[in-house]
Amino acid sequence: MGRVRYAVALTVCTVVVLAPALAPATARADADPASDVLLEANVFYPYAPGVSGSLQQALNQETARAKRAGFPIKVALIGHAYDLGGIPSLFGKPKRYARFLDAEISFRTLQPVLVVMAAGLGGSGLGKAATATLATLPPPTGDQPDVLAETAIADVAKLGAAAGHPIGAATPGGSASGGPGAAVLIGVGIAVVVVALALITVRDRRRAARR
Amino acid sequence: MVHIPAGIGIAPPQRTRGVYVLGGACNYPLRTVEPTGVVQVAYGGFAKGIGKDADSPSAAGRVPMLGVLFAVWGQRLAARRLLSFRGRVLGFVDGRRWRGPLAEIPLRRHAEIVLEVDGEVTPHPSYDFAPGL
Repeated sequence: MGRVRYAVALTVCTVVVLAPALAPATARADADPASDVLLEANVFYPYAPGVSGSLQQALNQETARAKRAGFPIKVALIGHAYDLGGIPSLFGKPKRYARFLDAEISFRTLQPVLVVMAAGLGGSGLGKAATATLATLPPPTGDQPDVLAETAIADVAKLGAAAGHPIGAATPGGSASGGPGAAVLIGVGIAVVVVALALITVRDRRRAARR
Repeated sequence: MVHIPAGIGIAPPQRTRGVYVLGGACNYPLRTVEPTGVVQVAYGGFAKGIGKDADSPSAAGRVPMLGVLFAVWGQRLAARRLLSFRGRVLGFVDGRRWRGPLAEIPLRRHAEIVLEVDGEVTPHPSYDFAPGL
């Protein structure tokens, strides 16, 4: 990748064409990077300084497990005002940004959202029980990106459990898809044993027939 | 809203990490590495006729125009056509209405450009960019 000289922000809006009567007069064009990233990914990470690779992997796995457990939560870690792009005024206001983000990325289904800032936690679309649990959780102990990620890793499991979707413990050293992979290996092993027993049985019968 | 993809201006095979495009076979001087609408302008300059002269008359000082980005992206941009959408297309730069041809909107450093089809959505006047951009 060549050297970057500078950047420009481009937003393309067509939503008013689809439903002009529904567009609120105060609506603003989408301009926060997290709402774009979270359409495809489960986690939005702050730009700079970033979250360490091992914690990114752990949080990615945690949200993937939550999704498999029926709790498809999206997490936004906001470390600085520039992580909010065109709406830096919401920095330090995790509850307000969580509602904003939820409106940006939720469509037909309820979309659980967790926002983690040094100022505290914000949630939306979590359901009654998980929202009550969120209110009891402490804010991050620092403003470093890794601290925000550690907070999210711990809180996703608590919110999932509160919402009635307990998230299983991580497999030590395993990947997010380690469970199914192990099941396939066990299945192949059983099949090999069954085939071997069948071959032995056929051989013994042939020997018996020769006698 | 229209999702502006990562990977505009980055030739395949692309190297990706999640939703981010880290690199590819080669890069255009205009590219997107994340799906957020942030467009990176790289060193390398733009040939005469592609960019407009900025403060400096040298090639490195030329500022590319929005039409170049859409050409690299392979999408339509006209007065009544935006991608696959039809209607009056409005352009805003830093919150102010752009009255000239949309393709000639200059991609100046830290510009906040909003395109709307028959839009009445209030465009953001500015954007906080991450350090290094």
